[in-house]
Amino acid sequence: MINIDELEKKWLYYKIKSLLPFILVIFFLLIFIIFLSYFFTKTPENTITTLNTIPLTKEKEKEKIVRTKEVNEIPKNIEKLIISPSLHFIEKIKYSSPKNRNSTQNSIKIRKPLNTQNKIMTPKKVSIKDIEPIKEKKSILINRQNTKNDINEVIKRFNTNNNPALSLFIAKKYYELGEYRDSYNYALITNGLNNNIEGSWIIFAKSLIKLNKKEKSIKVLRRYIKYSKSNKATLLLEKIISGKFN
Amino acid sequence: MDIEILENSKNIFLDTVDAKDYIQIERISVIYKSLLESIKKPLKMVLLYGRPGTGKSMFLTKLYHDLAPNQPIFIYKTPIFEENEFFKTIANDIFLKSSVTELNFTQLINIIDDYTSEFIPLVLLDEAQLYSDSLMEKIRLLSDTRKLKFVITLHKTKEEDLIAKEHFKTRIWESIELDSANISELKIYIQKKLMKENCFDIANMFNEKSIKAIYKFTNGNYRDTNKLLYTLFDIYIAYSKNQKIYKIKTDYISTKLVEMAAIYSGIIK
Repeated sequence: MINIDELEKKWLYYKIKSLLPFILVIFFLLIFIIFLSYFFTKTPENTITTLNTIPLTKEKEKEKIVRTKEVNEIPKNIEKLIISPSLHFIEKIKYSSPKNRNSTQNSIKIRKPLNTQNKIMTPKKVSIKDIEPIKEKKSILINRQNTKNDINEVIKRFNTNNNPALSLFIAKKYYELGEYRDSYNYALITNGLNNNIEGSWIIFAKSLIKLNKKEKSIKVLRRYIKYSKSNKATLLLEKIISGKFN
Repeated sequence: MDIEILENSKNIFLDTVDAKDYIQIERISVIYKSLLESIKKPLKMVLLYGRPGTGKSMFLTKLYHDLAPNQPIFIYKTPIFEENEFFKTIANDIFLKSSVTELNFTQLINIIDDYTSEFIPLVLLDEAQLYSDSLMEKIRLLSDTRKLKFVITLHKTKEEDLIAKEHFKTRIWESIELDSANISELKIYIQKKLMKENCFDIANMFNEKSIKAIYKFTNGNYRDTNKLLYTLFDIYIAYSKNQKIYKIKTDYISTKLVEMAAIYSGIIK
């Protein structure tokens, strides 16, 4: 007679033994899956930080590239095209007597150009030959309005640090006040310090217009546009040519 | 589940060689027909070989059963190891020459030479791999007389293949190999065996899954299948007698029961 209980135990042992390889495989597979899931849940934190940094660094690099481009492009072009004007009439005007001027006009104190101005080099290929650096020898005391006091402060600061941003500000301020000779001069100074500053070219051209030197202004702008492809300069040129800017 | 039915089902799978228990399977039927045709030819010897449990003995028994009414045919299911005893048996059974004393080969040859008959007696020798080389050589010589025709069965092993070649190389006109059953043949075998004894409900309990499980352990070997199923029904009987029949499936043969039968019968060690 067969012992059923004993046979069932034997069967159970056989079943476990036969299924053991599958159980082991599934067990190790589960461990592997758990390990993988743990590994992948951990890595996103690192990737986010790296991802976060990458675009930033990339952006920074881009900015650097843009800046260097801007710096590299324009200087190459503008090395050959630096404002180094010298207007005879400006010289004349500067050194003319105060009675020739309108009394209502504000007197302009012409100061000695800074030493940096002497460093302006004429471009080899492109040069406006009839433009000579302004040489101021005599200083004329003038009465200033109160609105010019803020310019003086800036001028003082500029004299100490030679910041072209300040000289550009002064040029613009003078232009606003209608002091086109001074604006012309400070535009020139600014360009001498940093010929990348588009504003210095614009103010310079505008000042020339105001000083009735339209052709010179157009010529300077065209030269500048040729190398810089400046949209602002292009717009100004069109206005000047069309007569919309006087 | 009725114990009587289980007992009947169990006895169906007793490993006996009886022509009436022969189950006709298509592939085997084709082989059997080719064997019948071969015997009709003027052959000296036919070799029937295959692995143990492939149905060689059943084949031979079936052949004897079918041909016995029409021609002189003699079957020796167990080998006669002693040569003199073998000659005496042949002389007595086939040629009706009884001898009190021992009979040697020469004397047997003389008896055969004197024998005249319309039909050539057919001698079926089972388990011929158990015969000695010397006796096998004498059997070959007896077939050369053309007054005896032999059908011998041999286990298919490398050594026995070699023996067959050495002894019967020029004399074997036909060699037939018997193979184990495949899954579908096994299913037919089991169900036909049960249906033959009117165990239709039991036959329906064997589904594809259970047949697959049986095949897994027996590889289609008829002897192992009989042994396994005999044990299987024995286990069913044990569950029934112990009032534990509720623990097992009774509408179909479960894989668990087949595995338990394999463990108990020693197929799984």
